[in-house]
Amino acid sequence: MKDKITRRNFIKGVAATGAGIYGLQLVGSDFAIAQAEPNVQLAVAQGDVTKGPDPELIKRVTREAVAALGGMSKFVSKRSVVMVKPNIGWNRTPEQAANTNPYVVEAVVEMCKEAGAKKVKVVDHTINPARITYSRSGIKDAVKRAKGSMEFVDERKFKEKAISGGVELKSWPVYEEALDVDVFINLPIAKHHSLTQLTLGIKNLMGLILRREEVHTRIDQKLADLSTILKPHLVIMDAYRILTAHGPNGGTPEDIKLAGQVIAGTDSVAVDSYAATLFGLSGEDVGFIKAAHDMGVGEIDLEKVSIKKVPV
Amino acid sequence: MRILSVALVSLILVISFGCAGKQTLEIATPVKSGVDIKPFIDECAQLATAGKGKIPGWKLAAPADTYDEESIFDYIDGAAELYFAYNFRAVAAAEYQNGETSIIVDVYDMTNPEGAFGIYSLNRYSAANYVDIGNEGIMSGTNLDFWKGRYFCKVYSFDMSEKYQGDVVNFGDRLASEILEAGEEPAVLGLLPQNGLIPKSARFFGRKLGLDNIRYVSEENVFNLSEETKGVVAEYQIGDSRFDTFVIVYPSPDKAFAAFEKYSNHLVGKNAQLLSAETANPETQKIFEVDGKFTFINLEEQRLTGFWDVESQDIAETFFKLF
Repeated sequence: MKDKITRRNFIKGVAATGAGIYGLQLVGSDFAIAQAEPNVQLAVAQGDVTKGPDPELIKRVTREAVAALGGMSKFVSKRSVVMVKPNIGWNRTPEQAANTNPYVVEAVVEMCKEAGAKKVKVVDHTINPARITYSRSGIKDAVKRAKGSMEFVDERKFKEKAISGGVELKSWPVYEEALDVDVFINLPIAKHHSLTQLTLGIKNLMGLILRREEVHTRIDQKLADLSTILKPHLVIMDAYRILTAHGPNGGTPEDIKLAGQVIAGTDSVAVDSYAATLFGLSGEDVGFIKAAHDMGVGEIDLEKVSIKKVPV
Repeated sequence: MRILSVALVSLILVISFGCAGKQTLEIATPVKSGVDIKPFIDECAQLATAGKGKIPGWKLAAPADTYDEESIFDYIDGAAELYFAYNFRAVAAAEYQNGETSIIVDVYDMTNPEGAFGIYSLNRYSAANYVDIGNEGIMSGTNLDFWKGRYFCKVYSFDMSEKYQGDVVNFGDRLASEILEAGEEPAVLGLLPQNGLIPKSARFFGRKLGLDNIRYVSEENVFNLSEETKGVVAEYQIGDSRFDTFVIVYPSPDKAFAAFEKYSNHLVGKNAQLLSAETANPETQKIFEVDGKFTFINLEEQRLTGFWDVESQDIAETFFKLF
């Protein structure tokens, strides 16, 4: 246990130290070739959408986003145990853009294995039955191809955890493994949401709690409270195929847009704030992003974030 | 030419608002929870499984899953809150399979036609592919949404290729034929002026979350919306000008006035500029400039009406002067 904590804290320390605060480094329309640059806080890999949702392209875009942050080995050390938390909540196919793209998941699991992870677990506390969503989303097969481990949540692993500084929530039952595992990777899909306007990384954390229906009132602050204890080491946002309306699960083909992006970073607020721009919003426009920023979880002003854009 | 255009617009508006008239609208008392809903759940399940043995090539995979006000979160989680804003009572979900893919039939009991139309209307947009199923339906790929009576229904295929569109329509037709009561659109839609109204653009709301999913105005409830309010947003095109119109009816003139004041203050707080204009009653009619476009609000007894995003100040002031 001590070794695990030491390794986990070391990884977190590296991630925090590597990310300084610099001025905006937007490249604009001149995308640079992906290279590991120091102090990149947010990486945005852009795929060629004219090629459609090509699986190999999606995987490459995912890899390039992580590479621009320094590569997965910056976050995952040899023999570490990784927990990946995609959105697998819905009985929907990949084309319906309600769950994380399976090829994004596949690439993430592969990268973790390549970095030397002893085990890569993929888990979500789903809305619709997991035995259905894990398959229908395509994620179960993707994880199998990548030699990861698909797991159902173990109800015994939800433990009441104190939220010091919580405004609405002083404690809540959360999936303890997300707090203790060597590396926790949050892997949401960017979508419209009928209750919160958008569902992004911070909202994806709801797949790691119990009593979700109680969180729906004053949800923005409650999500912010949860984000102060559920802190991923890495957030990889699937913005390849995004749901622009009738989310979180009711979209039609007209609602689905091929944005072609994967966004990666260590700052949950910054990643969500950037993803919000894909919907014509800013982080300030979305209640839970603003609330999390106000609590010091991360940076909402993209002009204060070092962003690297990478064409693929 | 510009003077003529404005005059023409004025004439159209005089005619249209004159025809809308001054209707008294009763606010229906919301249905209270605590009623035994098992019969409604059973009816939803019967409707959802009405295709069993009736659609060639498709078999019902299992008895329908049913959810009530407590358990619906297990089916659609946070999305349930929006359904509650439209008086959700129960839902049944049935899966049909043909050996290659599945078609899901969801039947939502929204307590009354107002709720069913309301939640359905959130799907409306001008370029939608409308189909004659139920009272009205929208087909998008292999996704069908329609309403009839107190039911909002969704039928969709997991395989989104065109070859299953016919089957989705067949399931929809079968389901609609089982719903005997047609129901009517909410009465507030009748308060919309007809001239300039883009057909099938009206979307109904009562509570704030409904309006949030039509047009997100503010995190705050700046219109004081509740289970007692009835509202509609619709698109208009008059000349080259395209804009949204809203009508909200409150249970009393006092509540309408309070909302009028609150929304006005909200606009001022957002740095909207209140314009001075000659009106019949400046106390109850205001025009604002917001980000280069014009917003107008008008208070009349228990009704709040207005326009958003009018691009021309001339046309906005013409609208304003007609009230």
